[in-house]
Amino acid sequence: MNLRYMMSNVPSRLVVLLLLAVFSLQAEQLAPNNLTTISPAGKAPILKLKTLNDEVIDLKSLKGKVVLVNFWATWCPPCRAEIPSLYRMYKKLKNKNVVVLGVDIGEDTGTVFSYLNNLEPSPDYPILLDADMSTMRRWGVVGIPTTFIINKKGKIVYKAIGGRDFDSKELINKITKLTK
Amino acid sequence: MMGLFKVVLFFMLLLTSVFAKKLSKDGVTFSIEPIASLEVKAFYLGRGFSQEQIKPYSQTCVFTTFLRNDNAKGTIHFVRKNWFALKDTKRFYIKNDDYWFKKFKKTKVKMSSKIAFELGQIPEEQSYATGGDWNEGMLSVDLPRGSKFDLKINWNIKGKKYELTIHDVKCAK
Repeated sequence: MNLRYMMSNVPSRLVVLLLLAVFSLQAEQLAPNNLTTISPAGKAPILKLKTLNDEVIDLKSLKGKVVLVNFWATWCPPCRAEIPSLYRMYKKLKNKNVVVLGVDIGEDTGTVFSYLNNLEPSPDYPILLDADMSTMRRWGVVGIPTTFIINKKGKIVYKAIGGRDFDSKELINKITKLTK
Repeated sequence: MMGLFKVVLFFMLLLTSVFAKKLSKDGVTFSIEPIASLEVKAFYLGRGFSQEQIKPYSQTCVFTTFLRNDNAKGTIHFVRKNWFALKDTKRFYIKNDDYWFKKFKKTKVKMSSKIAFELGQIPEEQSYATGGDWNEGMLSVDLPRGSKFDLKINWNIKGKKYELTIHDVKCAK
């Protein structure tokens, strides 16, 4: 067994897990959990990408719904940390016309599938692949996770740089208000 | 052998966490934690780099850093290349990603690996709104492993400059 094999498999996952633990310790100190209000609300840039199932999703077709666009990657500890709360929020609000689009940056289908399959529960909102970072650049994202919340008219009304607890009472209330 | 490797890696992480520092000033929180060369290699080999490709980076002093706008007077804006390590009165400015990309170009690093590298760093330039915007990422200081120095980071709010000094930062071996 060579060093490259060893380091590219189990230890790499171990490093990510341990970095996640370190991150959790760093971030736990009662961090504020707000969304930044975008005022005036700005038009959402183009977002048209393939999902893991090879379907194309165009943000334009989701007008009339509240959409959370979450830029992330499987190796990113804070992205991994916020996925469970994002999914809980989605489960609570999907019947109120709330959609989550997880936009994975720079990874292939196999990598993302294998990560999601190991999650319990595994989120069932659409995961889109931005393999060359072009969508991320268009949206002006420079660090992940970054999440945009788009109202029913297709305008960006909130933004969050860094992980959040999306199923906190405050955030659920803010997102629910947009559905009315 | 794998078990031993995991144990060594675990204790390295545990040891480096002892040297972690966390400071808050003017409503902004910054933390820094040294990462051993082996940990850096392990992370980037998992992202598709070869040992040879990531060696120049992993040989520098690499840290996990975290910057958050808790309750500053407004949106903070920073430019990473303005941050520097101060050692024996000499300044060592943080290098831009382009510096590393030029090195990677010679060894044909895959696009997906370059993307993971770029996003794995604390951003080159970023703005955080008050109320919890933050990023976590690696920060490389181009000094030999084991070095000790002060790190000076800065940001501005509507043009007014703020500075934070982290004293006696110790780089992992």
